[in-house]
Amino acid sequence: MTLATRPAILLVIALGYTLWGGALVALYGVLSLGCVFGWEEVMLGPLTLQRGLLLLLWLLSVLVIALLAWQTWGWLQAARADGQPPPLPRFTLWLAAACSIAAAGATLFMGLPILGASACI
Amino acid sequence: MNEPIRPASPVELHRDLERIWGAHPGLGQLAAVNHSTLGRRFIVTAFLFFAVGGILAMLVRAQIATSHTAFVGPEIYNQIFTMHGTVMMFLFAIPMFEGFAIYLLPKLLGTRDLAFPRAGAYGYWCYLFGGSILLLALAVGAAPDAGWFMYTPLSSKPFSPGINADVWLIGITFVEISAIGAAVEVLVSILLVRAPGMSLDRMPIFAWYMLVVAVMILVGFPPLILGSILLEAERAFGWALFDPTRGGDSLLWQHLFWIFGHPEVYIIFLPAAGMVSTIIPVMAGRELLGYRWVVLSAISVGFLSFGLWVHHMYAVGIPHLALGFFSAASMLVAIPTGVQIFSWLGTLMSGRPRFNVPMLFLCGFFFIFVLGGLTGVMVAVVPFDLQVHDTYFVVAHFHYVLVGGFVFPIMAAAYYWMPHLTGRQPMFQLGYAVFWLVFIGFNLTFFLMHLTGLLGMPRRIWTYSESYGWDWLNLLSSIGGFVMTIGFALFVLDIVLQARFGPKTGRNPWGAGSLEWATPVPATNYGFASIPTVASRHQLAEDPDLPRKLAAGEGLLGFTRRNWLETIAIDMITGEPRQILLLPRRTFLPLWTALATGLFFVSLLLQVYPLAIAGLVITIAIFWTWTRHSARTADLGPLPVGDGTTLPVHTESGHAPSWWAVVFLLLADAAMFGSLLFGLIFLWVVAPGWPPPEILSDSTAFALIAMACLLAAAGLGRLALRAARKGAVGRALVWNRFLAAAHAATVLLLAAILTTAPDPTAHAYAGVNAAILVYVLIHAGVGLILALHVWQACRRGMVSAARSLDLMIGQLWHDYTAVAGVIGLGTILGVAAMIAQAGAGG
Repeated sequence: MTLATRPAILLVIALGYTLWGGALVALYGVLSLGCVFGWEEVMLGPLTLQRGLLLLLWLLSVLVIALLAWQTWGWLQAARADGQPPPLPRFTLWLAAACSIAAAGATLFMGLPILGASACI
Repeated sequence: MNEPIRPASPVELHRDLERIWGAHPGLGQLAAVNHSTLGRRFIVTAFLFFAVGGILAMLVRAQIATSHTAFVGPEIYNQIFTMHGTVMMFLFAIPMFEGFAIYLLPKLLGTRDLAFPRAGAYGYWCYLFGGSILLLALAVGAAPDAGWFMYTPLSSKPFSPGINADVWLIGITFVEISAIGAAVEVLVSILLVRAPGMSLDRMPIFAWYMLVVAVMILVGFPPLILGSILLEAERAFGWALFDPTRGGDSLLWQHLFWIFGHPEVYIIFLPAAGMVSTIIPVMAGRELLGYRWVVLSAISVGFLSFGLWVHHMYAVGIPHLALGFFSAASMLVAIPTGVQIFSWLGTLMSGRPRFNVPMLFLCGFFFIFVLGGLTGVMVAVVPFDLQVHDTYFVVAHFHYVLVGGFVFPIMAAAYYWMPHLTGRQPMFQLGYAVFWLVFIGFNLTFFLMHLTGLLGMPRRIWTYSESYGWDWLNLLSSIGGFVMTIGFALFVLDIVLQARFGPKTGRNPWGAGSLEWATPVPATNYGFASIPTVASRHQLAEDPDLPRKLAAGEGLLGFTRRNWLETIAIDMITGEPRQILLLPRRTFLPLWTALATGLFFVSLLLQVYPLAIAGLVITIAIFWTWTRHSARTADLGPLPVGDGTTLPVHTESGHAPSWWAVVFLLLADAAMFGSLLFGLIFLWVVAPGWPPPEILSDSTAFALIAMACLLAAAGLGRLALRAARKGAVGRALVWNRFLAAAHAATVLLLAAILTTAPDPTAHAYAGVNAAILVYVLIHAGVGLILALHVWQACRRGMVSAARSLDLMIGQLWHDYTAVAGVIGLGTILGVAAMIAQAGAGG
């Protein structure tokens, strides 16, 4: 049994953007904690501890949501290829895949300022 | 006895259904719980509040039309602009789209009513009474005066010592009961109470929008409700929460407010976009272009709108990188909004648009909303926002968004659905004059405000010097405001003339394909005489004879049975029929409950706390009696619905709508709890004056026992449910008794911790700790009440292997309480330990 069964598919539709929201809150939270506890002053090679943590968190978030997008896209392709009536309306599978892809793109774009903006000023 | 009674003719069926579903005339109308009646009441009441908000806007424009106007002084002016914003946002916009949704959704979804008619009626009374508190305060000169977002410290006791701020905090919280109730009702109804065959991909686009909006309300409103409760606790009892001299922080209020406040803009816009997406295809004579892309866009806007809240706080001193995150999210939301706009334009371009009054208002919507969206992207860019922050540029921007994105579509919707509401056609073509007066007046008023803002005029000032050169712009803006008001007055006249004297209309005057036009017009109380089986998103377009067939009782449930109010609940994904939903009849219970709730809120406002407790007890007692309607002492078994199909009634089904309602209510509850924990961590990390002088100690054992009790209650609830499902009601009663004892013990333990905990008035740490303890205590208390209710149901023979819904609902609550309790108490203990360790280390 996969997640692509009813009514769990509604949760899958919401999952990508929920993870995006979690990533936003986590990035903002780590940034706030880092500025309070002085992580911007601790160097880890070419990066500060603060920026290293943020980069890690951001890329991990993108990766997780991209994997979700990959999985949901796979369900959609399988439903298209089978020739059998899918267990769920194709529309819901399409929506799950599209929401996950959009959420992955949104997470990627949202974290771009980590590459340049000053952290605690 | 449970067999259907098939009437001899469609007329007789109509008469029987009307007798069962309708309310008695005169005072009996106050007992109405029907969605058509409630929808109309919400719409009319919201429009009356709109008129009040409009008059207040005229007073604002009169005051600042020229420099040094001596119309009103600063104290009254503060009340006027605060009430204008408050009334328009909370008493007009939200209830107005709720009214349309309540009226339209059952008809669009091909069903007879929403899932919880009494909750809808209760919500309406809460809205009316809560709004009346605010207007009464305005009439006696004690209205809120700290701005519609009530920023602390201005709204804190030292700077707002009167009752004004309390009126806002308590009145708006009262009104928000209505919004939360409506959101749960709408969400469950869209997911479960649709015509058989209406799978998710066949759902009307308006229902998709309302589905998104309902979830947004459930997640977005609780932070504001929490903020209001905390601020009122600070004002009334001196708790330290937002006061920086006692470890609090004003920014916590801003966060809690805008986590609600920014999604709120989209909560208002998305229903209007749903109406636009419904009307445009009808006017263009073709189906909506890119249906599934529009659904994707609505979902995307719903989620992304929660990532923008800090863009209202760019100027408070947040690090550049954090600003970057929120600026990026602010830009992202323009993409799905743009997809919707291109879908609408594409639908129009590929169809044959009819240019009538609704279409004219939609054109006005396009023009104004796109301009508002463009200035929105401008203020999403941090450096520009810092230049225009708190100036009239921002006032212009959000009026373009809100009036363009909500008022114009609502007026299009009013003209489009008026024949449905009244059964009559418009007269004299006054709508064209209404449009041009409102459109020209609006742009004259607000376009010029961009310039006034760029010239540096700050918001909320009650007067200014002529030397600034703002006079001519303000005068023209005020003239524009009055032109717009004449337009709205003409709109009222047009609607009244149509409702009273307009020529009768036939069914489906616009040639639409959606199901609301398959009902009789004006709408009957039962909506559909029989329920359609849906095979397409445009069922009416594909079967123009559908209204006659349904009226003749040829659909499902085309009969009466034991005077029950019956409709069908379905599988939320595929649309297969699953249950017969037995709905409650007309009753005064919602009115009495709302009056008791009003007693609670008014007593809080007047600080007569014994009376407030009495109001709360009466409210709970009346709610207790609500369950009588669905209580049965024998199983009904599967019943025929027509077409050879039999279905169980909802009380004998696994996951009835009421079970789902509690799931979604707990989602809102979790949002509030999450906000509370965020508050504690935010203050700990950001606020000055930490660590606190005194931390929680000597309560660890009590807290651990309370956590064990909560976990035990959840486990005992499962045992009781399992026993009931096996038909062993006696054993279920025993487990339930232990469950009640576990909750009672938790209440006592938490009360004991509260009496020895640090003083919540001394430091914000103690204030938030006390709030978390009270939160868990209330949940355990409600768990106790639910256990007592199950005890009564078991004793009266209302529980059986098939009828275990009460226990299932209770189980949800006990599980949630256990999880929230363990997290809450664990957080309290963990934070205390860390602060103690840091203190020892330091």
